[in-house]
Parts: sequence; structure tokens; C-alpha cells
Amino acid sequence: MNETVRLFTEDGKRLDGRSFDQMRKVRMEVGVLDKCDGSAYIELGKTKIFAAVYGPKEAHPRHLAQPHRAILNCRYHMATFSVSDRKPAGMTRREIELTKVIKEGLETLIFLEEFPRSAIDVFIEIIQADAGTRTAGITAASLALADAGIPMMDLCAGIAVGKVQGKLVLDPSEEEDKYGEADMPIAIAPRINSIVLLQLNGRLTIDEFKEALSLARRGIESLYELQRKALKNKFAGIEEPEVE
Amino acid sequence: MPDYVVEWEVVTPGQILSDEVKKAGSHTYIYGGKVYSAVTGVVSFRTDKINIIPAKGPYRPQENDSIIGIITDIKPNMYEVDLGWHVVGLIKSKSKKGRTSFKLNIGDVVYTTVRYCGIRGVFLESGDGLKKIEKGLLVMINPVKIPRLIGKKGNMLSLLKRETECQFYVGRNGLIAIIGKDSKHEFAAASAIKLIEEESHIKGLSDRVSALIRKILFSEVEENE
Repeated sequence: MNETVRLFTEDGKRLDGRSFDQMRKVRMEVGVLDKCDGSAYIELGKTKIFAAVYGPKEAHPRHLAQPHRAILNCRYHMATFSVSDRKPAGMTRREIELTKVIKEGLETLIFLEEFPRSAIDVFIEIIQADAGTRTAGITAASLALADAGIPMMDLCAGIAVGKVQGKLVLDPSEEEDKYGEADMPIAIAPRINSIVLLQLNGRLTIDEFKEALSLARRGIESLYELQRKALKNKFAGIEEPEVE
Repeated sequence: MPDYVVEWEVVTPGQILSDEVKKAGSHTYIYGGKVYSAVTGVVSFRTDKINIIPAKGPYRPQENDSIIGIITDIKPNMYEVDLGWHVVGLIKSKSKKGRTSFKLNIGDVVYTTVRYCGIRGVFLESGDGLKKIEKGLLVMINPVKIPRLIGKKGNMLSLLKRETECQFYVGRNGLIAIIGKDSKHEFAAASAIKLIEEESHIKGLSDRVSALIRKILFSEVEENE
């Protein structure tokens, strides 16, 4: 840890004025894109993400099709202009890894066996990255899947918990992520109480891990309510929710 | 034991519906002895079950569904038909019983029914039930909106027929063929169908549909004059 960097103010608040268990401002919108079957947009602080879903459609190449279930194709991709230095347009190692973990998380929730011999495509495009893109990405992707009318067990929402100067914080910002000791992104399907994504970068004690999990659960509950509100509002034709 | 929802309530995936497993209807699932919703849609109680009418969603073929498909491939003994979404139907062309009396080519549009749907695939009626659509306009809407397009006892469809003087072939897979006396009437019907798809949840749909059709037909009449 870099001792010269201070990530808390004197009154114990974080640099952006949040308390340790406070998320950044969240905004969700459903059905934002016309050309795909389902779509969603999420803003978590300065992080901006679009998710789009196509299908179920015929699986290509055909030898990949499964006779008893659909296959899920997923792509997590950051736009070249999403970070301060231009990112190369192709898929980096990091993006390939995140694609894999998000795909495996979503696969546990979708009733893939209802669409044999078909494929469902999920695209997650990061327009602006400012920490927490994988968790916000999976949140948007599950919302887009629900918008496309694909049957699933539950929506899932994700949030990261960080350890910054010995203290656990919910939804770490980019600086806290950079100079902190640990970062643990978690995605949970709350109604069926299933953890669909969990990674840990850094070290936590067992007690800290348990505390981090309960902190994340609280954050995810509020995200889940926002997801449901966004979906209900779309189908009732009302304005999208905007909650701090 | 209680139900957690009321009729016409909007539900989201994973929302608990009931404690009674017997009440699990369409688009629901049972997990841990409770019934949950699998899609976003509205609740409908029918035949003592809780069903969810999805707000949007892919076509799922069922036997005896009338469908419209496009021939995509010709195999030695069958035609492959694209039914939209992920569904590919098959028409057996050389079965002795139901031999088609006309030749089909790639790109032809057919109106038929689903004879079998299961693990072997989707097989379509190839005998008298098969009709080739030679002309007209093909419109695609979301398959879950087809019941709204037909309306209660076919009300909405008969309104469309009356107002536009067109002939309609409605496929459960979301494809609709419109055959009118000229393109103006076909266009009016297609616009009305798109309106029904977009605004089916808002009240007073029939009035808006007939107003739109009249607006299109009459405005063009004035232009011609």
C-alpha cells in the first residue's frame, strides 16, 4: 500500500464524500436500443454500459448447436474511448476473462433447455469505464435478457467490495481500487440466493470476507429493486427511475 | 396458502407468485417448493393456475399453431422453412399422403400449421393445409402480441379487415401476410399492425387503430385529387 496516498477524509468519509457502505449514483434504463431483441443501459457513477441481447436464434456454426439446450454467447468489450489512454480495439486478455466469468454466471440463471438447437447472444459494451465495470456489466446483461423475454430464474445484480487502508468499502472508485489492498466483485441472484460471480483480488481474512459479503448483499438488494423498477416502468410506459 | 400477486400485476423474473406448487402455470417455475415467475409480464389466473402473459419474448412452436414461414432450403425429401427466431420447420415434400400440389422454391412464403413439435424438430402440414402466398406485404411483430392483434373473438382482426378491405394471414410466429387491393391499403394495414404492437397495453386501442387507418387512406385520397 502506498502510505502517502490518503483515501479517507478526516471525518472518516471517502474522497468523493460517500460513507463506507454507500454506492455511487445508479441509473438504469431498459429497452434503449431498437435493433436488438432486448437491451439495457446502466450508469454507476461515471461508468456507462450498454447491454444488448439477440435471440434465441439459429446457432452458428451449426456444429456448436446443442440438441437439448441453447448455447449462450457472451462478449464483454470496452470501447476504445472508454479509458483515458486509447484502448486497442480487439479483445484483450482481461476482456476474454471477464467474458468467460460473466457468461458462466448468466448461464446458471437462464432456462437454456427451453430453446434447443439455438443460440442467445449477449453483448456488453463499456462506453466509459470508471471501476466496477464487470459487476455493472452483468447487472445490465441480466436486465437486457429479461427485456428480451428470455425465461430466467432470477435477475442478478453485482457490486464490488474493496478493502481500503484496512477498511471495507462498498463499490470502490477507481482510486480506491488502485491504491486499496483488496477488491472483491460479487454478483448475486437475490431471490434464489445464489452467488453467480465472485472474484477476489488481494487478501481478506475470513471475518473480513463475511463482512464484505454481507455489505455486498445490502448493495445488491438495492440494485435489484432498481432493476425491477426499471423493468416494471418500461412495461407500464412510465419514466425510468433515478435514485441516489 | 396465499398467493403473493393479484391479477394483471406486472411481475419480473424471480418474483415469488405462490406457495402452492399446483398453481404453477405457463412461464413460471418451481424452486424450493414455491412458484416463481420466469419472465417479465402480467399475471393471469386461469383454470386455477397462475400464468404469466409475457410482455415480450421469442416464439415457441406448439402443435396446431397456424404459422407463416419462408422456404430457406430444399433437401432431397423436404423443405426447410424459417419461422423466425430460432425455429426451423420442415415440410416433407414426398410423403405419399400429403404431397404438395405445387412446387416450392427458396424464398417462397407459405401459410401452414404445425403438425408435430418435439425432440425431432418442428414438422409442418404439407397437404391441403399448406398454402403458398403469392403476393402481398409481409409484416413481422413480436409473437406475444398476436393474441392482441386478433382481439377478443377476433374483434381487432375483423376491424382491420373492415377498415382496410385487406385479406390477412396471421401466423402465430409473428409473421403476418397482408393482401390488399393496392399498396395504399396494404400500407395502412401494416401501419395499424405496428400501432397495435406498440400500444397494445394502452386503453382505447380500437379507436386509435381505425383513426390511423382512416387518416392514412383519406390523406392519400386528397393528395391524389
